Amino acid sequence: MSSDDQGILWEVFIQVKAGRPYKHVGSLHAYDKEMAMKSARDLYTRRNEGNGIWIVKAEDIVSSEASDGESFFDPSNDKVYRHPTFYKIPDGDKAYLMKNELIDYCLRLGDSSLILSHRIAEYCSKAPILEEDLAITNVGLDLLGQAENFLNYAAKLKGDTTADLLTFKRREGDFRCLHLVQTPNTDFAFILARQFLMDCYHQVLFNKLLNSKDETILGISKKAIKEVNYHLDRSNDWIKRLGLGTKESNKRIQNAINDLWMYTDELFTDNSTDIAIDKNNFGPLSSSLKNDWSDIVVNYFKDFRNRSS
Amino acid sequence: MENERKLEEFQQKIDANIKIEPKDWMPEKYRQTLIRQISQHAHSEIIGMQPEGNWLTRAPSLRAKKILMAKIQDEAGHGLYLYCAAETLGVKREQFLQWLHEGKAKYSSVFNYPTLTWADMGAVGWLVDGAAIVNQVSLQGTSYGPYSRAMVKICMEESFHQRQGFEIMVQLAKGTEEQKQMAQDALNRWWWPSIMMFGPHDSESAHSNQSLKWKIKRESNDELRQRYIDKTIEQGHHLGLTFPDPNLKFNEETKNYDYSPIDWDEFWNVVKGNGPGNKLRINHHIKAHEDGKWVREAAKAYSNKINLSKKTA
Ligand SMILES: [Fe+2]
Ligand SMILES: [Fe+2]
Ligand SMILES: [Fe+2]
Repeated sequence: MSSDDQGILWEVFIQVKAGRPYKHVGSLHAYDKEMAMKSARDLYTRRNEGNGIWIVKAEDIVSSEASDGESFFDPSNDKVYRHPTFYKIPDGDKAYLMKNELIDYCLRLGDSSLILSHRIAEYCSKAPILEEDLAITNVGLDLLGQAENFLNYAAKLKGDTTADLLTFKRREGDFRCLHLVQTPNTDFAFILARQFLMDCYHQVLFNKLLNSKDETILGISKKAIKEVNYHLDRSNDWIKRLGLGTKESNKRIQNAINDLWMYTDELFTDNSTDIAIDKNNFGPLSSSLKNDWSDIVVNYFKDFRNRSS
Repeated sequence: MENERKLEEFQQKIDANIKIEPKDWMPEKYRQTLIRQISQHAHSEIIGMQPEGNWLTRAPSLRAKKILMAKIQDEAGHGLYLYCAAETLGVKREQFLQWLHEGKAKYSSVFNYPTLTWADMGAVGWLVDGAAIVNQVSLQGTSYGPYSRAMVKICMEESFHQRQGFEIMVQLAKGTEEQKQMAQDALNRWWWPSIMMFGPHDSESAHSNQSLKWKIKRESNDELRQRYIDKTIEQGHHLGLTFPDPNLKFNEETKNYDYSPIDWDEFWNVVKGNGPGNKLRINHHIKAHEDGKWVREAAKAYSNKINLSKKTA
């Protein structure tokens, strides 16, 4: 027998609609119940088939001889390739005076999601356990959707171009993404730490963008915040697992955070775009996100440091 | 004596189309055949992620990238459903993976071929998934309950896979001359491997008869292969592409397409892993598995700590 451990076997029951019975849909492997619940969501509700989930350890089932929050189920609503629905850009009045800044802003947000999802795509078929391969791909797909929405909007504002052309035909130097998302998939700890830092950032950012005066940005953000809340929940679980797991995992995740930390300053640096965006109430100053972000990040770290001692 | 009576009852259940469940009595050979077949099927789904993953970072549009990503993710899900179905027979996933890494377990040899151009994403979806679906639809009726239920889920999800592949083929076949050539080249390379996916001819297949009797399989290799060929030829003609088989001809008598003899030497060479692709695929899987070892250990250690602190609290 091999010494490897693929986790505990869990059985999954899904309720399709409120009031309906829970039906057994299959099983999965996970090490703890949080991971089991999230894997069940990522695996068995990819096509929006769920309203409620029960999970139970397979060993606890005695056999005869013969609901969570919106962010949990909502995101799979719009996986276009599965149930095609595209976000429509409303034709509101645009502040033409600052069109360039708005374009620049959308490229910035779109490019960061695009490149992060690209890194996740590179990781496909390389995750430590099959369940995680599926789960992380869901995050990648969400990010790719966000990227597409922002790039579509940028293309529309620019005119004469498309999200695809912006993605595939721009010169490298014209990309606006954060340096953090460009860092390589060094190991699972780096992938996780990068994701965690970005998830915290996205959560603070999209929450602020829920006050955007720009209808399109508002629409994109309403959808994105649900996705991002879930992403953060997931990456936070893993930060805890790695932080509290073994000596090795603690060292690896600590190293990853240390190495990636220097890229986080850029998240909160204002430039002329920020100032124009803020002045028109289209979005927040980047610098205004720092306090909330630090609170979240530091709290999570404190959380697991307390529990490890 | 006792065993004979059980065996008879077992066969009666099978004949009455009553599904066999994990705790039911079953002949040891039935169990072993299922363990081999289901795990081989699971490994194929997982290894099959690699040739397509090869193009994920180079998909030519955002839409194509999303679809491909979702498709490969589905394949991971299929592998997962199947490992879980196989586990109900008393073997753990750790063991299945070890057998795969040691070369003791096989996977579909079609995934050992390289994916050279974007057109291969079309051909793989259209032909490889197309062949897999024919087999999987038939397996929904398999006699083992967990396997059958996994197949029902898989078939539901597969329907978009073949379509996405065919869509790529349509785009290329109706595109520029160069694109059309790419599509033709991909079809030329994937046609025979996809036909071989159904395994040896019925006359050569060692386990076939017993498997049919126990309804592990519902139709023979050759029946399924013929169904796949008949349906695919029509689609290929719709694309305006040709098949790399000069003897492909509609037979008015049988109402099926006749085809050239299959090159089984190549088939067995690839099955036995005598190609460069085989090493690549397995090494990729082993590396991911070994790279992930410390993560699995951490997750395990964490859950132990949580359980411990609950007990002492
Ligand atoms: Fe599949
Ligand atoms: Fe498929
Ligand atoms: Fe497949």
